[in-house]
Amino acid sequence: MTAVAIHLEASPLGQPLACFAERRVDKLRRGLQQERPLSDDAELLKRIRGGAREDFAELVRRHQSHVFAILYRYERDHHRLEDLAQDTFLKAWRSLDQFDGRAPFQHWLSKIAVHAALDHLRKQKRSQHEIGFPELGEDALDWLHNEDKQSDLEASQAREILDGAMAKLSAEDQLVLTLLEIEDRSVKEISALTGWTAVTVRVRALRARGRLKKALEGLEKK
Amino acid sequence: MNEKKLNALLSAAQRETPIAAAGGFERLVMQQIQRDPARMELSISDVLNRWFPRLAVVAAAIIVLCAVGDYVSAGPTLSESAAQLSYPYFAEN
Repeated sequence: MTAVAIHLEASPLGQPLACFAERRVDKLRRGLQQERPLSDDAELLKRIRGGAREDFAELVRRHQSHVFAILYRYERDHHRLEDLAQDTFLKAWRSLDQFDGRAPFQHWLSKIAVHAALDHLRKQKRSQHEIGFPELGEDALDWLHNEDKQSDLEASQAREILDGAMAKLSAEDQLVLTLLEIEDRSVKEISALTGWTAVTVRVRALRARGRLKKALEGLEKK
Repeated sequence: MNEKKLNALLSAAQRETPIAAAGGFERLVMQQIQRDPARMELSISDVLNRWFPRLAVVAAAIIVLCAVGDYVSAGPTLSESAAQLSYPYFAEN
């Protein structure tokens, strides 16, 4: 699949198709990771519940990349991201008794990570006083002000622009947009992760997209 | 900002590579757990708190059952029994 993506990049159709293929590969990889034998985690959890608390380290080792992959969308600073990930695992540890084993452990952990991210965004919003738009780099500004430019934007620049605009949105809006539009998750998945109904997710996402658009226009005018 | 440009922005953000955990991250988590062993050592009040709703329901069910039993049975009523039991104590005074 990766070879297909590389080949497509060299083709005249260029980046859009390669990008699409890359996203499919990512999704496939994510899917494969989720198909880790359940008995592995179940066995470990059994041992931990039996008193072998040091085995929790193995559980952390197994799932840390997954947790970081969820949380890095909400926190840029590496130290704060690490704190957030630690907090996620600590919460998982404290409520290990509540994990009933009906769904894979990773799904349950993802829910905790998403809620930790939401709490983090809310805290950020509370501590953040009314601020103007942040200073953007030259390339990001250039892309934003040029009507014709729709591609050749680097991921880091896109994040820079989005972070600036997202800061104007509520924590819930930021979360739903990140999960739906950036992580490319389905409404059903988001509903399971957040505990919101599918209708709530759809309505919230639609309104959040409108508000993001407005915030981006504000950024453009600046 | 038009829809096309917004979509281009969002799909560019999708390409961002995740930040990996630093080596030894699990050790940091385990240190935190050592400092905060909330799960392993439950106090009596934690256990009572955990059981409180169930205990309260069971206690209420027992009270209701007793009251119903007392009402249905032909013997002396609850208030009569209580009066009989308390009589010697009050009679002394």
